[in-house]
Amino acid sequence: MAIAYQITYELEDDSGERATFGINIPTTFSLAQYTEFGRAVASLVDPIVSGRISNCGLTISVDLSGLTSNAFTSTSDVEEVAAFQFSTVDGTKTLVNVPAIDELAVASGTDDLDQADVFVAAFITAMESGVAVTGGTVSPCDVAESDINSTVYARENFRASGKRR
Amino acid sequence: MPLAVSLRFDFVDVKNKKSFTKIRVPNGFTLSQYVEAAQAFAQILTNLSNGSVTNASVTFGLDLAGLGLSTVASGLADVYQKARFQFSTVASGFRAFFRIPTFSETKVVYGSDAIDDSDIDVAAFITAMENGVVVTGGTISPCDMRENDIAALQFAREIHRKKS
Repeated sequence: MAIAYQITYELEDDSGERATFGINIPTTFSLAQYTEFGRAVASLVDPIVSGRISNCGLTISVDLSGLTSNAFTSTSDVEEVAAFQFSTVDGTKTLVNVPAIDELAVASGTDDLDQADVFVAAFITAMESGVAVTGGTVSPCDVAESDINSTVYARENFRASGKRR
Repeated sequence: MPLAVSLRFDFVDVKNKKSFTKIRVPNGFTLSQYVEAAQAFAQILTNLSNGSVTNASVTFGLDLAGLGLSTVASGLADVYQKARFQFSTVASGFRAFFRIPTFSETKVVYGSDAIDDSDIDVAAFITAMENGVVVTGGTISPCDMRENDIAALQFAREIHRKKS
């Protein structure tokens, strides 16, 4: 059984605080149809709330059953990250942090990732050149859709994963 | 300009700590192409990481321009004030519910915490949840997370909860 997709609405109150709610929907429609639905329901929600709808999105789940070698190792730690900064065709910078980086991918005596490492190189190539899909290539970009075309740096970093009391 | 589509990947480590990363990709592809791309990146990330990729999703921003929605919140709006709508589904024992933040106090029955389902706006919303919304080429009818179609409203009441 597929996991339903979800349309999420974010609402903002007069003090600027935001909260969300989601409506589950079946998985068999097109993006254009989901957009129609999302807009229609937004028009139904607006009259029954006192806040304003500040954002709306469609989230679809992805089947990962085909992944191989996806078990965590005994030394894995999500707070140890690989920080990749990329440059786009417009010259903007965009950052991707990959959690639980393998220490063996870090060049000895530095905090630089070894870009000759086969898995580091594969990730950089996919970020710069995209991944092939049926009928095209999906190539990463920044939030404004400016295409990523080069790597500025790739280095080890550390980032808290959450609050600890 | 539309915002880029977001691919999100969740990770867990041996200590059961969780984290995630996002990769942005352009608009203009089909849902199945985005799923393919997310699966490809998930494998690349799995190879790169010592953690386990536990979840992947694709999020699209939906454009609400031109609908004439409220542009400012009312002075009475509070995200902690919500309406909980609970529905039965076609699968016996399975329910679907959601809590709508900043629910309007004027839609609550005076002297109670019940949402006024005779109010024309509330009734329209409930009908859409129960019967779906007509879109080009079909009807999209809300469901629970297992895709069991929503059947009927069980209750709708005002509640107060944290933000999300």
